[in-house]
Amino acid sequence: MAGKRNLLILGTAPNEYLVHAEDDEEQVRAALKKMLPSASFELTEVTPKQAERMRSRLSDSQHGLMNNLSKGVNSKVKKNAAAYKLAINSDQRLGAVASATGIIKFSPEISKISKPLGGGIGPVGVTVGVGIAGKF
Amino acid sequence: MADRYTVPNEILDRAIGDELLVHRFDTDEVFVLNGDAKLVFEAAKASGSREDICEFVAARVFGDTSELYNAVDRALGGMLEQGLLLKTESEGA
Repeated sequence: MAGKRNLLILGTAPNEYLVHAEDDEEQVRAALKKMLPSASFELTEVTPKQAERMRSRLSDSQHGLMNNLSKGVNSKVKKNAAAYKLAINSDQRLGAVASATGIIKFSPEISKISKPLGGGIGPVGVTVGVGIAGKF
Repeated sequence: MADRYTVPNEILDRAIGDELLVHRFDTDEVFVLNGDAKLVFEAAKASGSREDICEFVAARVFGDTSELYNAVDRALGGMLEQGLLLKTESEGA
């Protein structure tokens, strides 16, 4: 990994995000491009007043989330942070996990599987037990 | 009243790579949860309330919050249906 940066990204409206970062706009843009390789987006710096207006649209749970961030992230982001508006140019809403290798769609799946015949814990114990019994 | 999710006693789970293998001892059924479903299941085990589960997932997933919460709700519904979770109502939030 080339380097670490702190980005705080909060959804304020469908496909619109408030981004706090201690980096300059180009670095933030580059980091977002890595996180969203296939998405077209616009990033614009916003004034503290505009950022405050966007923050007012955050839900209680998002405010709680911000307060629960690790001290390291919170202090860095609050101290030096510039604020940006990220707008995703897509009709499709995002639901994605950012990973080191790229983006994966967030899609929880539950599959029922068939157990192999004879699989299980018990029968193995019985066989061993017979052997031990013979020894005594 | 707030909905709370708990894992029944008859459930045993084990992580295998990114996935989670879940065994229901009462019915002897086995399920595989993919990485995203595993995240929801682990959130339910750790916290319980729907809000806590959503926040747990949102803290780890970058995406549209409302879309994410819908996916969490769908996953919780699926887990309830398969008997991997129980839902109870508790007083207060």
